Amino acid sequence: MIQRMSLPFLLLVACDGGGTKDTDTGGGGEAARTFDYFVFTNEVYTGDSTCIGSDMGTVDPAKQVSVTFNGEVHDFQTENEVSEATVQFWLADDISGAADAEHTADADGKFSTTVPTCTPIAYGTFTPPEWEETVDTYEVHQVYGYVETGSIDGEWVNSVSQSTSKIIPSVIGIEWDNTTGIIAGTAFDCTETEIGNAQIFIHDGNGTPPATGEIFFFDDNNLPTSHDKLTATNPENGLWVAVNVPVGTWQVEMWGWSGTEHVLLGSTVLNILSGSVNISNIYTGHDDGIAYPDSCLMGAM
Amino acid sequence: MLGALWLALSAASAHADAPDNWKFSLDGYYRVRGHAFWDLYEGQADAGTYMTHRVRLQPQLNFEDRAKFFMQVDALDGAVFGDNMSQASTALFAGSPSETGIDGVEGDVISVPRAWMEFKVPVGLFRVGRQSSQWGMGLLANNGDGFDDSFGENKFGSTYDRIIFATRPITVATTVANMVNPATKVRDIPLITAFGVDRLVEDPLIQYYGYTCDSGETDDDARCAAGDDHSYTSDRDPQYRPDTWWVDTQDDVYEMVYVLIYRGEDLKFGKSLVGDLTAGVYIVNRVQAETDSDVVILDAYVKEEIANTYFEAEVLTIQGGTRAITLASGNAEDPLGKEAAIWGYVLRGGYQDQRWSLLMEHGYASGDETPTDENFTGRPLHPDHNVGLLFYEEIMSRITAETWGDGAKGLWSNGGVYNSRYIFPNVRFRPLPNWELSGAWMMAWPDKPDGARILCAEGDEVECPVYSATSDYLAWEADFAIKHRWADHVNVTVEGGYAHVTDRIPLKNNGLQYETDENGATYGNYFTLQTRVAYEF
Repeated sequence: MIQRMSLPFLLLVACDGGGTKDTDTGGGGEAARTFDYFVFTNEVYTGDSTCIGSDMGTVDPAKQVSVTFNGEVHDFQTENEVSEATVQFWLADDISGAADAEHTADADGKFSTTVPTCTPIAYGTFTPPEWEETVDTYEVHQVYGYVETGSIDGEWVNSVSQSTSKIIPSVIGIEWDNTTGIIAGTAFDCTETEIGNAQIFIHDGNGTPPATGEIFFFDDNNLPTSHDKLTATNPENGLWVAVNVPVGTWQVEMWGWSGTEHVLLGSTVLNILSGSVNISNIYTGHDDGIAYPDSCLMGAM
Repeated sequence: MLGALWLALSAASAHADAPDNWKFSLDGYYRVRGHAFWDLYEGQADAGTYMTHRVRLQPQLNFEDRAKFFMQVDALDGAVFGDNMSQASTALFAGSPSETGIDGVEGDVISVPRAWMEFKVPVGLFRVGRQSSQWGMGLLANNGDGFDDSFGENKFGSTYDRIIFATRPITVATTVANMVNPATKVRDIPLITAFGVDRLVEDPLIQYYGYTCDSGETDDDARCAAGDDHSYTSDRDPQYRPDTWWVDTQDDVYEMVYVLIYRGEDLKFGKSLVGDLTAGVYIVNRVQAETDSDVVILDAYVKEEIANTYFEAEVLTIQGGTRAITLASGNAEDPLGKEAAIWGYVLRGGYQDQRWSLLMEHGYASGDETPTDENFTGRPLHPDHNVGLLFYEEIMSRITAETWGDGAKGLWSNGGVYNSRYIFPNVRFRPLPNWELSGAWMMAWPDKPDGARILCAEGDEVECPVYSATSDYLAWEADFAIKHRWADHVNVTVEGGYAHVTDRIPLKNNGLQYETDENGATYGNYFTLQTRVAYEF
């Protein structure tokens, strides 16, 4: 199952007010980068969080089989096919090592490989740097549901164009240091519906945030807010983006305000590589960013 | 345009004496320009050099000064020296150069960017066709003709499909009065008015919707039919245009042009002072029905040359509403609604005589710290208003292109003065006929840092997520030029520039070389040497 962010046209950006991280007018001054810097909302989160702490189901080993994957590489924004892109798969869901499989898409962006179902894996899409066409795009913790036919057909893998990677920071109003990475994702509740009013906190696993990296949310038009009208939280769309996240492994957490306290809704772990865009969703009730489709769970038909 | 109209109208009284025949004349030039840059681009170890061509032919057919036909033919425009498309299988044996531009794209060998006619009627002059447009100092409308800048080169040029009528209302009135009563000798006043209309677009290939539809999700917008899938706008393929594509008037973009200009020559000021005075206003109302665009451009210009003093100024503003700009506003009910409030100006003045020009120039182009809100306040000055050789022309041009990317080319500066104010004192010395030496210094400060193209520093009047810059100013630059005219027709120029760019500009991540000081601030020092050899017809 792949949950895809839906970004209409990234140039079409709107700003709908809301709180700001720094309410000083006239600029200047940077707040200490602590938990409170990232999580401060008093807007109660929307969505179902009843699954937190509950049994999320057990994966049925019988559903973990290898299937043919007839995929297509598409541009994340325009949804056009990306010709002759290189696609790599890491079947252990760890992009730090060598890929387990590598394929080159044809002129229509199509390729075939073999993937395990009901098993978290990672993929990356690339084009030669001299083409100046795309940036290295990764999507980890992908789980493809069990299929009886033995093949998954027409599934898309994402590629982010250089144009898109530039224009998101550009409309936000921040310089992207391309020795760092960008993370973009959606926050989901227990029913895998977009969750509203969540905030994102990134840390090293011990509560220490990275030295750089700013979180931005998307407004009601599903578009990133600009820097001088930062929304404190994502609205109903669940969309967020982190720019300038340093290279390394980071815990990415989704927090919400219950009305009395901030509660951890879900989290994921990401390995950020230099100059990369990482598409990653966070699911309520999961601490690893991995959400198994129902077809993978014990008792599923 | 208006300068030419003026000349044409000035000649109105002479046409009766013109011979009853055709005259052909040819203006234009062939130009070679060489560029060398040091330490500018990432990965550049040695001086990067390239040379380009341009042939510009501007023939004119003139019938008794009453009816004229003009044309501009460009050839090899911007073509880089050499075979850059590997037409020869072995580069070392290349013999036939290609027409590749500096952007790496093969250009047209010949193009005809302009063709228009001009004819006089008893009370004025019409100009009809695809024509150049020039107003004042060229901050808004700049024809890009000739070699009119102290430094740099014209690369663009304003061209419009236009029908315009110009007249001298007071001349007409005084002529009538003097005809009725020859003894009155009513004095003429050199005042020109003009009224025109430009058709900018007949049918845009960007289809405007003003709302989004998504076929893949439940869409509760009643305007969306089943299967509709588009953003606020979407691209169309011209091959799928219906035969009647020109019928729809809602998507037409046109503008009405109104001009009023006074141009007094050899005017007497007091007992002994004689000089010229020009002042006028250029008003444009640009509209597009389907995007509710109704934008007014107001551009005022004044120039005086009295005795050895010189002063010239142009101030422009663009005001009005539109839904045509795909940078949506902050209004959830009207995300495309934008209110333009753009300002720009240049003031230039000083002393000049036959040997010396001592001038101070100050200019401004308003910026937009939030390009994605409901206020559209940033627009660079025309890129053919050249200020120096490096900072605006190369570095800001590169930064805006890199940060906006190909998806927003309309927001690139292309070398124009961008989101800043500058001072540009310059000196020109003409020691001998046909020789001119120039020196200039430029310093620029930010207007509204947007955090992506101009980085924020503490104390800025804008709110930014990161205040990474420390400098108050953007850059300074020193330029020099030596110009010589040889054999009346050959224009030879050597120009050089050195620029220091501060940490206000994101050099590091946009393909430009940079250094880091002891405090971690990035900066860049760049040098260029450029030459031009042109044969002017």
